[in-house]
Amino acid sequence: MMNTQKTNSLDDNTLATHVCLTLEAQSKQSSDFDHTLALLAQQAKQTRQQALKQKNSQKHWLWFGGSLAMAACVAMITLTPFQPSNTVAPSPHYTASQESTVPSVDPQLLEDMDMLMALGEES
Amino acid sequence: MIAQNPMLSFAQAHSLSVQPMSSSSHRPQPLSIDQWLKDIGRRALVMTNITLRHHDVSQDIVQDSLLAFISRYADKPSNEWTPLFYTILRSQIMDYKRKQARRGKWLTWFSPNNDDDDDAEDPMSQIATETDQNPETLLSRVNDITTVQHILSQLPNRQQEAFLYRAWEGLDIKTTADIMGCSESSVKTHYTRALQALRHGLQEPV
Repeated sequence: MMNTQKTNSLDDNTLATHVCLTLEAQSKQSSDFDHTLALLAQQAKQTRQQALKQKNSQKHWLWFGGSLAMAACVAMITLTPFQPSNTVAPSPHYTASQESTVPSVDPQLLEDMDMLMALGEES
Repeated sequence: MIAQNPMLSFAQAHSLSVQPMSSSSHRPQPLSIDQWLKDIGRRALVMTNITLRHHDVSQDIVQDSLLAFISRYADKPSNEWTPLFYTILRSQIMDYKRKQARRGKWLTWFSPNNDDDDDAEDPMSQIATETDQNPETLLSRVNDITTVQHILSQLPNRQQEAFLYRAWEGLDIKTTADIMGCSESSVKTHYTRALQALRHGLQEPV
């Protein structure tokens, strides 16, 4: 029964196509809304142009900023003097006076040495 | 050409002789925003008229939607224009309907057509009526815009949307589902039901 109904009548695609053709014809008819649409279209065109221009300029600034940052990094890496990692750099605050005050020999050792020298003289 | 090849949908048939197609629509990709806006504005007005059945309100809603689109999305790539615009238009229509429902809260009980209840079957459609299945009669009725608009306006909201977005605008199932905020299988179901209802409406004696 369904098959006979389908063969007798239009199929779904044809039906949809014809309905849409009718709707399209209706939409193509001129109406009082056309003037509004024309104004809106003009506004859309201007807004799009402005937005794209703005987007482009933003892109330029981004590129410029990025390039500048990269250049700074490269310059810093290049200009910084090379120091091998196994050598320990002396601290700039380390002075000679500090060197003299810092005890380099254990006092106990000095005492022991004195005692040894005294013993040596006696003998 | 369209009538000769029944397997082609309306939008597909129109896209055969044109430029590259967008990813979501069978319609040709628009070259300029002003031309696209004029075309879609006309179609949107017809669609909104079918949904709301009020010419002035439809014009206001389409105008507001176009303005919202221009102010927010004018810089988007052209293949995104159509889905974005229909998403805005749909939400504007829904807002208007909600406002109307709030205003006429007590009167909606007596309204014969409740658009929010999409899945409920109309009891009148259950009654068997004599139908004219002659293709010539069907074609002549299909070409009458008043009849087509009347039948489409009787359909539930979701069926209307599924039919108009899929068949007329030529949007694919995924994009239609995104606009309607439902699953792809729902779109298919609504579309099939819309076609059945259209056929039934067109076959009914005047």
